[in-house]
Amino acid sequence: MEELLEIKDLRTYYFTEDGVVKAVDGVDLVIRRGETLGLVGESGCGKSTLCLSIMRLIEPPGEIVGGQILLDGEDLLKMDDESMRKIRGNKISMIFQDPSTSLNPVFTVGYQLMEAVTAHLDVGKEEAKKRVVEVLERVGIPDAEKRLEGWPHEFSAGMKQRIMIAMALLCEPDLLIADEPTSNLDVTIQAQILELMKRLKYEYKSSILLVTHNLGIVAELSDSVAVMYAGKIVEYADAITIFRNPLHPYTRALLRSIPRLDLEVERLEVIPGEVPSLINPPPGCRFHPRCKYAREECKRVEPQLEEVERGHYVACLRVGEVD
Amino acid sequence: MPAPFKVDLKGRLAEASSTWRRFKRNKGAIVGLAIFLGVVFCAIFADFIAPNDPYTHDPDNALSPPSWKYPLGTDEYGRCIFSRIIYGSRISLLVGVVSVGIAAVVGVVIGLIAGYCGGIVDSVIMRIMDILLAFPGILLALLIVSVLGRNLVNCMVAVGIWNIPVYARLVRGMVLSIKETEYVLAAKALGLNDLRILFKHILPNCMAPIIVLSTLLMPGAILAAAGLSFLGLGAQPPTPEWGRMLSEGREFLATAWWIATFPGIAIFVTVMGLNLLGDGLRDALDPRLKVGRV
Repeated sequence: MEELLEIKDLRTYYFTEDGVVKAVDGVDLVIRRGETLGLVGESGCGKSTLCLSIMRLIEPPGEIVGGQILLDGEDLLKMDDESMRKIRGNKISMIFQDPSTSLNPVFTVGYQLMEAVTAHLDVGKEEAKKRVVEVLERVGIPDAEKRLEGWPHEFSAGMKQRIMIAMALLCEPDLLIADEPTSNLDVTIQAQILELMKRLKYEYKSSILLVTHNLGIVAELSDSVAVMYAGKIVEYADAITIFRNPLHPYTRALLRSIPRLDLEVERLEVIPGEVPSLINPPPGCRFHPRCKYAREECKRVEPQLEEVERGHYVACLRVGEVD
Repeated sequence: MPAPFKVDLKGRLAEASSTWRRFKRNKGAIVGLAIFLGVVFCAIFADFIAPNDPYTHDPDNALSPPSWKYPLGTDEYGRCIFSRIIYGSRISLLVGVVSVGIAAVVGVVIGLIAGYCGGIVDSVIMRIMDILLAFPGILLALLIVSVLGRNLVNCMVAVGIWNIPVYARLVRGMVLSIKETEYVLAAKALGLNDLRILFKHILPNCMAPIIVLSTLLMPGAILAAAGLSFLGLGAQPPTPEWGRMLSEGREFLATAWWIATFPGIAIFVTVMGLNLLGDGLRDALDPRLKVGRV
C-alpha cells in the first residue's frame, strides 16, 4: 500500500517551569493509504501530543522541536499557517475524546456542521446542507434534516460523538485522527461507535490513526499497531503479529493485563511501577525500571526501533533472548 | 461564510421565558425595570410630557416654587425645572448607552485579543489596562476632557475610556478559559481561521457576562457624566443636563431648594433603578454568575 503519512524523528517538547517534558521524543511512524493504525499506550505516554503535533495544534509552552511529518511527501512542519489551516478538517481531521464538550453550546448542530463544510469547500448553502444531511444519515442519526436545528445539549453523548464523526468526515479527509474516540462513552455506546467506525472505514477508505489505551478496540479496528511508551514507539507491526507474537516486554505485559474470558486466572497481571517522568526519563531503555528482563546494559544503551521480522519493528536490546 | 440556520424560535422563547420567570421573582428587579422603562418613556415622549419648553425663559416667574404651571418650580431664569428634568432624561440615557457602548466595543476587542494571543501581547495590553485602572476614574475623565475639550461628546468618550479596562479584564478572563475548551480545539482542527474562532466561537460564549456588566456599569456611567457636568466639564449650558442643573441650583439652595433637589432626586432614582435592574438581570441570566461591581 502507498504511504500517506510518514513521521520521521518527531520531537515535541513542553517547556514547563519544572523542566522540559519530552512528550514525543523521536517518533517514526508510517500510515499507509486506507490503513487503520492503532496507537496504544498508557495515559501520559505522549499519544495525544503526537496527534496534536500532526495537526500542528500544539499550544505553548509546547513546541515541535524537530522531525518531519510528510503528508503525501509534503512536510507539514514546513508549511505556512494558511496552507496548514486548509489541511485541517479537509485532508486531516480529528475526533476528540469527550464528545460532550466538543460542540460549541451556543450554536445549533447544523450550523456547526455547515461551518465545517464551507470552511473548505466552495459550495452554496443548499448543497452544504445536502451534504451534511447525507453524512449525518450515514453515521446513523435518524431524521437528520430535522435534527440540524437541535442544540448540542439536546443530544446524548453517543449521538454527539456520531455528530463529531460526521463533522470529521464531511470533507472526506485522507486521514482521520481519532483520539480515544470511545473512552468517555459507556460500554454499549462504545460498541455502537466502534461498529460505526468499522463500517465507515470501508465506506470512506480514509486512513485512520486510532489512539487508545484499550487493546480491545485496537483488535477490532486496526490493520497495524504501534505501541508507544514514554514518548517513543517501542513496537510496530501488523495487528495480527502484535497480538500473536508480541516481542517487546511492554507489549507483552500490556496484553497480559487484559482480562480474558477464555483463561482461568485468579488475578490479572499488572505492570509494576508507573509511567516514568518525561522530564527526566530513565537513561538507556525507558522501560527498564519496570521490565522483568532488564539487564545492566538496558540501563545504559538506548534501544533503537529495528526490524526483527518483515514488517515487525521492536526497540528492545533483549529481543529474541526473551521467551 | 455559512449562513446560520433560521433561529430556533421555540427554543429561544423557552429560554427567555425561564429567564423572565427568575427575573420576575426578584421584587427589586421589577422596581428597577419599572423605573428604567419610566425613564425611557420620558426620554421618548418628552415633547408630550413636558408642560413647558425647557429653554424658554420666564423672568416674571424666576425662582418660583412648585405650582400648577411649573410643577417643580423654576430656576433663576424662570425655566421649568420639571420640563428640564424630563428632557434631561434623554441626555442621561444617551450618555449611559453611548459611553458604556464605547467601553464595551473597545474593551471587548482588547480583551479578546489579549486573551487569545496570550504571551507578550497579553502582558503589554493588560499592563496598559492596569495603568488605566490604577487612575482614580474621575481624575482620568477630568484629564481626558481637559485635553479633548469640554462638551458632552468628550464627556461620553472620557467615561467610556474609563470603563474600557473593566470589559477588557472580564473578557480576557473568559477567553482564557474558553480557548482551552475542547470545542475551540475542535474548531481549530476543522481548519477554521483564528478570526472566525475568536469572534464566532469564543465571543458568543462571553455574551451573558458582557450584557450583565453593561447594565451594571450604566448607572455608574450616568453618575460619572452627571458629576463631570456638575464640575462644568460635560454638557454645557443651556442643555438641560441633570448634573449641570444640580450645580446651577447650588447657589440657591437656601432660597430656592427645588432647583437642585429635583434633578438630584432624578439622578438618584435613575441610578438606583438601573442598579436594581442590573442586579436582577445578573441573577436571572445566570444564577451562578457573580460579576463584582467595579
